[in-house]
Amino acid sequence: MEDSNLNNSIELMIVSFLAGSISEEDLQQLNRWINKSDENRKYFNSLKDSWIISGEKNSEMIMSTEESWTRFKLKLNHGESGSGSGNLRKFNYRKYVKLAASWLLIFGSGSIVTWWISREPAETTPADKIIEISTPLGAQSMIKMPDSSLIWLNAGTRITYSQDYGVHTRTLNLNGEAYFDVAKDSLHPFVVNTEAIVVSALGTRFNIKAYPEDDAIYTTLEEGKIDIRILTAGYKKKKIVLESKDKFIYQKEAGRGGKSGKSAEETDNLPRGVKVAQNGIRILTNVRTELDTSWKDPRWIIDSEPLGSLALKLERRFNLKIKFADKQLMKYKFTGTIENETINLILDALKLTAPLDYQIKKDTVTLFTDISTKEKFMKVMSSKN
Amino acid sequence: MFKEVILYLRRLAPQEQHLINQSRMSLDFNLCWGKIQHNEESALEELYNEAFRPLAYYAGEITGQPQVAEEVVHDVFLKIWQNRSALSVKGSFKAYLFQSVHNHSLNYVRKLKTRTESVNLVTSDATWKFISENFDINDYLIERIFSNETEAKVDRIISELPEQCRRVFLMSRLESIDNKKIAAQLGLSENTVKTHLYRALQKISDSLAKEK
Repeated sequence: MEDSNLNNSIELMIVSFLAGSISEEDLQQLNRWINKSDENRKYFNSLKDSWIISGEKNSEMIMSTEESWTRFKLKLNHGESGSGSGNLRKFNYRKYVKLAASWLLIFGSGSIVTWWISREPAETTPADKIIEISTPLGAQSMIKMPDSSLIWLNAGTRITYSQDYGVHTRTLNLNGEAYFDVAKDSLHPFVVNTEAIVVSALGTRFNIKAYPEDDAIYTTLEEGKIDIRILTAGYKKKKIVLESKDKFIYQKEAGRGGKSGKSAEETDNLPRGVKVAQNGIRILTNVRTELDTSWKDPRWIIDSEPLGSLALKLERRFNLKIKFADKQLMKYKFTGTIENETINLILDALKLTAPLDYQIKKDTVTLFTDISTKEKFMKVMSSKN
Repeated sequence: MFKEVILYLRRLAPQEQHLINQSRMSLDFNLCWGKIQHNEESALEELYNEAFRPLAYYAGEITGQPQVAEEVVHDVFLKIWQNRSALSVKGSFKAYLFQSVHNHSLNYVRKLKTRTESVNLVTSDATWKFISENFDINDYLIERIFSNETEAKVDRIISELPEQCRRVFLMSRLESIDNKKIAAQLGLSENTVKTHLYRALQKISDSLAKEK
């Protein structure tokens, strides 16, 4: 096969195009070739069809049709309110949908999203209404806001905003972890409040991790620029500006939630440049942002992640408890890509790559050292040196 | 101490949905459309149940963003329901439905681009233009996308490919790994990777065409 490679031919251009790696130049050339004859066009389309057909089983559309229909019905009733011609029953919550004017996308079969709108009497001023969107542990979701900003919510996350979102500012309160793809709008700043810091942006993409039980709050900026203000006394609302690929870490005060042991993986995880380091605050520059943002993607990327912090992420992701029979195991580091995983598959993979074994009882996973494989691993590791 | 270990998980999702599909009779789309025109909501739901997955998949492929696929399909279904009395569909309703999703996917990408620059789009301007000008829709593609048997057939054809060719194809198509990375991982040149991909596609095309 090596010898019979096709060289710079049209066939290779078609393949590059389908696999998403064609250059602009080649794309133009391919375009010209296709339009030269009907035969060419037909040939291109036959390969394109095969490409599309062969990917269907692998569709990233893993949401259930039933749940999707439910969401569709909501839209249907909302959309028809004006015409009045439909014979579909109209739901009571139609007006709440209108009021929220945002929709939910649920990833993963079996995930549940709670979408709750406070039921204030209709007489109160609209601005008083608080809208809450939350994902339970073991689920993720994505929402599209009225201004077209997209927000991905990780497991165990709550976002609230008042009904005047977008009137002056676009302000949200975050409890947990979320990724924001903020639509550009320089007149209406996008502001995220967490328990200790406030992040404001005009149009960027960033991730904030602010679980109340964690020791620190992390903000990772994928692109653009954001401002951060620290609310805690002593910092005097200090303003910090983050640039592209910066990561901001705010260590919560000792004693104010720092004793949970849910400590920062990032502390020993990210070498890179450190811009600022002063009591409680650190800014890392030029970080691999996908490590903090890929939790929402079909391919979740981890790099040199200690099992201790990985376990915490898995607990949230799958809504279970992970216990370490041997604390040594927490120090093992893992690197890799996790895709469409189940907890059993992940644990099996861990088992294959480290001297450990696991037991699952109800919602609790116990990890322990596997003595027999540990010796083998030690041998392999040391023989490499 | 211990060195770092590499964890790599492949997609191993069971294909239960597929088994369920196979045991079901396929829906008569035109009959269903007739019922929808007579205001039968249950027919709309029936159609949705049958067509959502393949249509959403296709929308995801065209827009390059599976997360907007549902919205595209919703818009199309919404239009169909709202215009059910005025809309006249000549010929196959299945083809009409598919064409609508195709067109709307392209429009969606275009609108998204003008509305906000911040959305992370896989489709560049040039690619979007290329797709809208060169992607033909034919009955063959439509039938394959909606057929419950295609997956099994494609699986079988792939399993018959030569070892290396199969590996490359699965990495590219099922794991969406880009050509450069596949080349690096398997120690091949990028051209060899592309050649393998091409051979696999050619084989799938030929084998499926034979069964026409």
